[in-house]
Amino acid sequence: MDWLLQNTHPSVDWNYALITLFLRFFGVFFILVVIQIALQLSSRSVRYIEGRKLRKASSERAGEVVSPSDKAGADGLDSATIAVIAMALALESQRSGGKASNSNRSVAWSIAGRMNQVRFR
Amino acid sequence: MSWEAIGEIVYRMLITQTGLTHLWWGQVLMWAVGIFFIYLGAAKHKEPLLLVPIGFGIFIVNFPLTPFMGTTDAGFPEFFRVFFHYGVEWEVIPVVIFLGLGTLTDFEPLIANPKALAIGAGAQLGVFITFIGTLLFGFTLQEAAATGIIGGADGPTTVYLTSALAPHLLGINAVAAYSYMALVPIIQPPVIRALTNKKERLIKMDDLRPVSRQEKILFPLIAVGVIALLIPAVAPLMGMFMFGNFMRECGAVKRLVETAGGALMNIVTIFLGLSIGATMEANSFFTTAKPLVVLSLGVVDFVFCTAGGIWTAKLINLISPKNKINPIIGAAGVSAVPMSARVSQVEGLKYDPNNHLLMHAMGPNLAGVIGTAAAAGMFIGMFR
Repeated sequence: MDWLLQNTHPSVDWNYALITLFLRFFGVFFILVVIQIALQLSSRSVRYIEGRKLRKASSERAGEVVSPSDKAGADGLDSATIAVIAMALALESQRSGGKASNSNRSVAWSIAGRMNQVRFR
Repeated sequence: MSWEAIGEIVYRMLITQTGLTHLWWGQVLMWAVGIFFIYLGAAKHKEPLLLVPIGFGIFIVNFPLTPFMGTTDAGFPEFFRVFFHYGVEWEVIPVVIFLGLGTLTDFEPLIANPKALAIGAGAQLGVFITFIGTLLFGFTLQEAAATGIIGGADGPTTVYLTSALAPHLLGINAVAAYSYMALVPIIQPPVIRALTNKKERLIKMDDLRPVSRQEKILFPLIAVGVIALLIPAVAPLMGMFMFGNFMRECGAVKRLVETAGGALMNIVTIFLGLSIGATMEANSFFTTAKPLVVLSLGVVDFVFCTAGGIWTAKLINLISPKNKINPIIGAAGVSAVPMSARVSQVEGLKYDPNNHLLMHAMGPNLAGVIGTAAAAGMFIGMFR
């Protein structure tokens, strides 16, 4: 150990080196902890703001008055148009009779759905 | 003209215009070192993007009379010296590389788990221990600081700090940093096994929460603000890192992101590797024992940095036993991204095939980059 200490560069002040090193190691912790706190605060703020926006949007949706245009389907068609389309599709389905292939089953299923929609309205 | 005269001309040509008579064993040894790095990079795919150009730089600069790192008769720098001077000594290339790295980095695992930042700080333990170690071998304070940062496992930061404090050690420090980074999968697993028990290795961590785009955009601004305020010495390095990340997250400048993280980074990487390799001339390498000390203490540095991360993870578990951290991810606190995170994943899977630690380990891994830059900033502030 003595040999090692004698081997050190003459400009090295061990007291200074050790104390400042100790302080700076904890300095690194300090800086990263400051970033951590800043990060947590910003995350909370962002989540709070986003949460508030979501709550506001959902409460607006819940409190909406149903207007005549809203009674129309999601695609903007009114119920009479939907009924006409559904009727046309049903007639087309009847015209093709039992020849409907497996691939047409999904079409039939969607027609039934649309007719139900019209009935409920 | 007589045969003697012709012989004299040929002899003079051999002496003055070829390297044959100037070759010495040190240069041949450096060829072997260069070829070893090329082999590691090209054949074994260990950090190939840097080890291949570094290896080739070492190889080619160690041929006698080659005009690479000196000055011309007119006093201008020779080929590699131009890149070394303007790129490395002027501290430009490491900063540009950090810009590119910022565009390639996703901070989501760190934002989702800010506790990882403490692990990144703890993993700087080796940096400070090696600093003391190198002082015992006759290094000056500046040289010791530049050597200590190797354990942070961050190449550009090592180059940045060394060129600021001890430019004469640049070659060996960069080579040690990049070669030990390539050896992370060999160095870290025994340390992980020695410092953790089976129960700790089996800890399953909760899934990371999803992070919103706003948080990702805010993070680089917050991080650079804190760092520029507290350690202005590394503001260029971290500023560009966070700028690159901000460009990535804001999504408005995709072309700039592609260039910074692609072509620009590749170009500067080529010249960084070649010019750093070119600093490893046999004449300067074999005249002092310092390169050997750097290479020896570099391993010790990596071991203590890995240990520091693991101990910090354990300490966090002691302080807050709720939502325990698997201490294996502490090893990822050294900033060899994503190599050390992959090591944590592989080690975790060895003990529980369903315990996927990769995303958890990315947090300390990214924190390690910031921690190493913070340590470098401390050293620059201390000794410049």
